[in-house]
Amino acid sequence: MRRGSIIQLTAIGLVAGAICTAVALAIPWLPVAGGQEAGRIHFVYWFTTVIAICVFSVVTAVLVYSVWKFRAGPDDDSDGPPTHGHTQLEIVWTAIPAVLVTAISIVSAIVLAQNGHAGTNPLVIKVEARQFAWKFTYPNGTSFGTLTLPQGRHVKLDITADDVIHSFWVPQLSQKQDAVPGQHNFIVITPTHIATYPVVCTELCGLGHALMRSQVDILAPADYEKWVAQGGTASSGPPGLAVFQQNGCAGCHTFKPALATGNVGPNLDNLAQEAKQANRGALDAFIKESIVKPQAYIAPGFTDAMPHTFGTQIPPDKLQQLVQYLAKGA
Amino acid sequence: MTSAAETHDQGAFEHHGPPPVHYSSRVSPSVLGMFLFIASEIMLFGSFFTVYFFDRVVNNGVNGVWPPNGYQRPAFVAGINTVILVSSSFTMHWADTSIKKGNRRGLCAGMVLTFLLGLTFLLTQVIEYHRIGFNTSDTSFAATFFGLTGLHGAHVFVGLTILGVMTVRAFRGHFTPEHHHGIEIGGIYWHFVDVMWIVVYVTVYLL
Amino acid sequence: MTDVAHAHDLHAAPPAPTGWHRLTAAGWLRVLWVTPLFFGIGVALPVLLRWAADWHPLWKGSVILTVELVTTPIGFLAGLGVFDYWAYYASGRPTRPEDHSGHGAHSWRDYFHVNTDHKVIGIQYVVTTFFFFLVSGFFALLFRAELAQPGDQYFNPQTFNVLVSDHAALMIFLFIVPVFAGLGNYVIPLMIGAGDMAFPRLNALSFWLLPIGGAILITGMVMPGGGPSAGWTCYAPLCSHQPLGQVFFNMGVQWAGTSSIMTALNFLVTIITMRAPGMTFWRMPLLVWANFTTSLLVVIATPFIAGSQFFVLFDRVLHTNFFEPGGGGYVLGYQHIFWFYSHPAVYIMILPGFGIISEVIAVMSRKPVFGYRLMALSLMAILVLGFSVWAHHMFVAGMAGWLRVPMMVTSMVIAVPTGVKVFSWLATMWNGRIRFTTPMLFALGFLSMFVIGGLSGIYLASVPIDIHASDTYFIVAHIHYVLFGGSVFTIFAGVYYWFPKMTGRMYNERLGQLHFWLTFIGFNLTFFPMHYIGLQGMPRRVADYAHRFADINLFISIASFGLGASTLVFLYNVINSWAHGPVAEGNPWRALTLEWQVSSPPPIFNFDEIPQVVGHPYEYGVPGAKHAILGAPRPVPVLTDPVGAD
Ligand code: HEA
Ligand code: HEA
Ligand code: HEC
Ligand code: CUA
Ligand SMILES: [Cu+2]
Repeated sequence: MRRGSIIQLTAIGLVAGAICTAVALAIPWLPVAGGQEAGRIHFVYWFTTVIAICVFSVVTAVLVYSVWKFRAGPDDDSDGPPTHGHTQLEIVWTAIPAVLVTAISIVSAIVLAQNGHAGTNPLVIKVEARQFAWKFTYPNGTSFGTLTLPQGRHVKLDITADDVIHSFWVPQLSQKQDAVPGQHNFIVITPTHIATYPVVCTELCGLGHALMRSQVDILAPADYEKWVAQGGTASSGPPGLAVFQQNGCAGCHTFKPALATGNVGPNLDNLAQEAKQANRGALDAFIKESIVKPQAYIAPGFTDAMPHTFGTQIPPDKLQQLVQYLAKGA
Repeated sequence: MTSAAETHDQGAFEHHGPPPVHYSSRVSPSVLGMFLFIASEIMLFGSFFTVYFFDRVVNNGVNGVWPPNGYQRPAFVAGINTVILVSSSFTMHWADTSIKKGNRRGLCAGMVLTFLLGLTFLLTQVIEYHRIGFNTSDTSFAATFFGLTGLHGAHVFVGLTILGVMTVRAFRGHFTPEHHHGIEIGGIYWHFVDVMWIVVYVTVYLL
Repeated sequence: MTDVAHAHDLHAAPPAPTGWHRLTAAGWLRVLWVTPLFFGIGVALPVLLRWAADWHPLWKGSVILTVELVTTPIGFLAGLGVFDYWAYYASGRPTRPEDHSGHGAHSWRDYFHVNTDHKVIGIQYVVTTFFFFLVSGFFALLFRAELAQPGDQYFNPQTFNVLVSDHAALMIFLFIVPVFAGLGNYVIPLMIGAGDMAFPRLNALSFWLLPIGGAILITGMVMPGGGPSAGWTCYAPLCSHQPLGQVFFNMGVQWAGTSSIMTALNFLVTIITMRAPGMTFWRMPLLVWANFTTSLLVVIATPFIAGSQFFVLFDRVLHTNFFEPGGGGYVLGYQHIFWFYSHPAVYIMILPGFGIISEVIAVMSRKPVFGYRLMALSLMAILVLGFSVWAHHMFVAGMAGWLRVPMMVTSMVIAVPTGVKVFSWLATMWNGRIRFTTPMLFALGFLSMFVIGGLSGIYLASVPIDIHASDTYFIVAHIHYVLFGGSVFTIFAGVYYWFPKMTGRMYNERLGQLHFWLTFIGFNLTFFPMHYIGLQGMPRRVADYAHRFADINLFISIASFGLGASTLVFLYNVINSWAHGPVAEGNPWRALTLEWQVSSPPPIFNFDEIPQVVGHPYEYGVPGAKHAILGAPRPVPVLTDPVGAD
């Protein structure tokens, strides 16, 4: 290879690398890191990105240079020089990637181990996922539809599911873990920011998957203690609202009072009208039947997609609250 | 079967047409094809063994016991059935060597015996299903039990069909010491079915 | 088999059947009555068996449906005549000799009949699979329309999930995997100097299973109660509790999988036993190598997806507890079994493409493939490593913790043999005399896009990053960079490259280049932004999403329509050139491999005399080098039968 071509090649590579670096830096690829684990994961991400940019720049440089320099003229019928290989070169380009991926692996493995450490006294919260709602149970036995965490403390989530596989993810906390029925999985989160982030279900779990959302409120340690002392004031609305949220009704129904926007099932804002149309007794009775035994009457234009299990899942007192809540909203 | 038919044609062109096939390997295509097919069959069984492994070992059985309390495996009857099936491999071998030596009577007798032994095995299996006392829906133990034995049963059924065809052709005199590919290939498959059963038997009934 | 009646003068098609014989002769008329017959059997069989065994209820929809999805296709195949030869053989009747009436296509109608000519089958394959490409691409455009805005506009979540699931299933099982089988079918026998595949009738059967698989998948979508909506991965236990359409999914995959196993077996036997004299393994073109390794993968791995689909089907139909936690099943078992196939499957979907790229780059750069042996060995390395990385799809699934790091390392290591290939392609181009024809453009597009896709794979292989990015649009971006920017680009390269060989006509170069640029730009605009929204927090498989992603999704949707439109240029070019294009010469690219040494399209039996291979396939620029001598006197003695046969 001539000196000149090496210089040109390097120049193209540097330009490509500079463009990639600009793209990598100008766009905020990652959300803010709201926890210690997320911070470490971001480090692995950037570490890999540097290597990826180098690899991509090398490939692009050779590609662009070849396209530019080795273009055959329209009437050029000649062949290239018959090079069959070059052992040293081949060893080099086997060895270098091997070294690079080993480096990424080592960094990743270290971070993975660090992210698994929950210290000696983690706050253990049980997470139960079901179509299409989250339930977070605290050590004192109270449970909520949203998650509240203290800043700066290791939190260990003990995650499981009731029906199908779901997945717990908070983009800003970077930690993700599938919730698998019949099995308990764990992740550790150590929030560093006082903020509210979304909880997203990332594993396809049925019709309400897209709307299987919740949120995590991260409080300063003192506020958190206060919150616990008050028995958790997360659901400030009527008692029926909590039932509505905890059972994933929002995954499928629109209901303004609960800010629900699903549309797998009928819009529950029009329940009164629907009940009249259905003509199956009083409003309360109709709602109750629709929840406990949805197959008894299928609203026109819909299929029998609503789970038949709520009757056994929701205890009678809660059911009563839910029915009242819906009846009032309608 | 499939493959048996193929090579023959290609080897036997007498009329002008494609140029004669050049074989670049000493293995006959149909035998090679059968072995590859068996490789993929082994992987199919492999997937059933894998699910068995997950349900029994990784998941630690049904609440920690395997087979779950109250389930009995008829290991003895199935053991006798095993002997029946394994002996059919020997009769199959007998049929195969007979025709190679030009002994047509041995071929026919061997084939009939093999077929009947195989059929006995399958019928015993059906009766066993009927009397076993549990159903497919009873725990993952039942699932893997019926899964593995059922998959094998389906292979015995296919094997019997092939044996049936071979037997008919044997009686019609379609095989000679020079041309007995059908017997050879079908035989390989049958031996595979037998060997597989031993593995299934040990895993499902004994372990 | 001494009874085979040798008719010497049966070269023309047999006389067309008349009268009643038209109904009993193989063909579409027979399909019309045999298929319903088998449909009836499919209903009767389970009912009778249940009656005999005294199981109630006798009439169980899901069981009947499952049996139906086995018997009806068999009826279709029997009607069409795929089994005729074997049926004759099995019943002990004299089999009709190979009279070559099943060879060659004389009119377009011949493509709709059972044909045993690998060239006809190859074209049948490619055209059918492209049909499914359009259909499933069309599904993608439909759900992209839905995703243009947050909230639900055109489809409810059920329909959306069905569209996504079938988009992926059709793309993977009915486009990428079989289209490579189709291209391979056409060129491999030619490349190794054989007259046909080892088992031509099995080859025909493999093809006809494909439209069946596709038809089943598509029918499932319109089933009452809803189609398959559990994603293409179809995870238990969700999948075992889906509407009836899911059964179609499970069974459709079985048919497509069977087809793919049989083709692979056929390739392996063909490549091992039917190479022309002198064609040693180290003289095989890299496409043959690539298909050889791919076929090994298929034969070994595909049964696992068959198993996985059986289990979820049984969980549903027979109420077994393979994956039901309540009954002692292990939920993650499904994922292990599924990915033990489906990870190797991604190499099934890229290795043949690597082969195509090696051909195209060598020919268009007029240089030997750089490091030929290492190229072949790296294919083998990917094959072996490919079996040891499946659990990288399960980093967040809650599998055994100790598996994570080993799986991460093996996944990363795959970058090494893949890198060897990438760098060797670059070195092949280095100092070459590059011709920027359409196939070469697609090869270059592939090189750059696949490197991006591969690098995003490296991100995902790193466990901590995957924990963040798993099941988000980052994955969707990765999928499309490797599958569209990778596999589909190689397919386009291959189709353009062999178009003159397959059709005997030349495609329109300017339209080809236009197609490339539109696709290349549309592709990047569509899929590159997905990396960003994924990392930012948009999960996959959602019909509705947070408002802050609205603008980018609108942009992606518009770009995807442009990408879809670029396909129209391709279609126009192909159809128009096939009908009216300039007649192609035998070897327009001045390539050395054997398929180019015969006319375009090749003679009915490929080679009039068996070629004698004397050298390597890529000796461009080597003075006087020859790959093969055609029309040489037949080597004496010809080994017409392998030792040990018959
Ligand atoms: C053609 C198909 C194809 C190919 C070739 C690949 C190639 C790779 N894939 Fe990909 N993958 C898919 C198709 C494919 N994938 C699909 C469809 C899914 C999603 C399935 C689903 O869930 O629906 C998926 C998902 C997927 C996941 C799971 C993500 C998740 O669900 O959480 C992971 C994780 O490790 C992964 C990794 C890789 C790696 C490491 C490679 C490697 O083989 C890539 C190697 C190539 C390179 C690295 C580039 C070239 C190399 C060099 C230039 C050398 C120098 C490089 C370095 C030093 C890094 N893939
Ligand atoms: C080879 C594989 C392949 C290919 C080529 C494509 C092509 C495309 N894919 Fe797909 N995709 C997958 C494989 C593929 N995909 C897989 C495996 C998944 C995962 C699924 C899952 O989660 O289960 C996926 C998922 C997936 C998603 C994520 C869905 C979700 O998670 O919710 C999206 C979203 O934008 C998408 C978009 C597209 C688009 C816009 C194209 C475009 O390239 C399509 C371009 C359009 C055409 C080529 C059609 C042109 C047709 C016409 C112009 C009309 C003619 C019509 C007829 C004759 C009927 N794909
Ligand atoms: C998987 C989606 C899904 C979930 C989750 C769901 N529903 Fe439904 N729901 C439907 C569908 C579809 C219908 C219409 C069919 C029918 O009437 O059974 C429906 C009907 C109803 C009706 C009758 C409305 C009418 O107009 O006829 C009520 C009331 C109702 N749901 C309440 C609820 C409540 C309360 C919850 C939570 C505890 C809930 N649903 C959870 C899908 C769902
Ligand atoms: Cu729960 Cu998705
Ligand atoms: Cu993978």
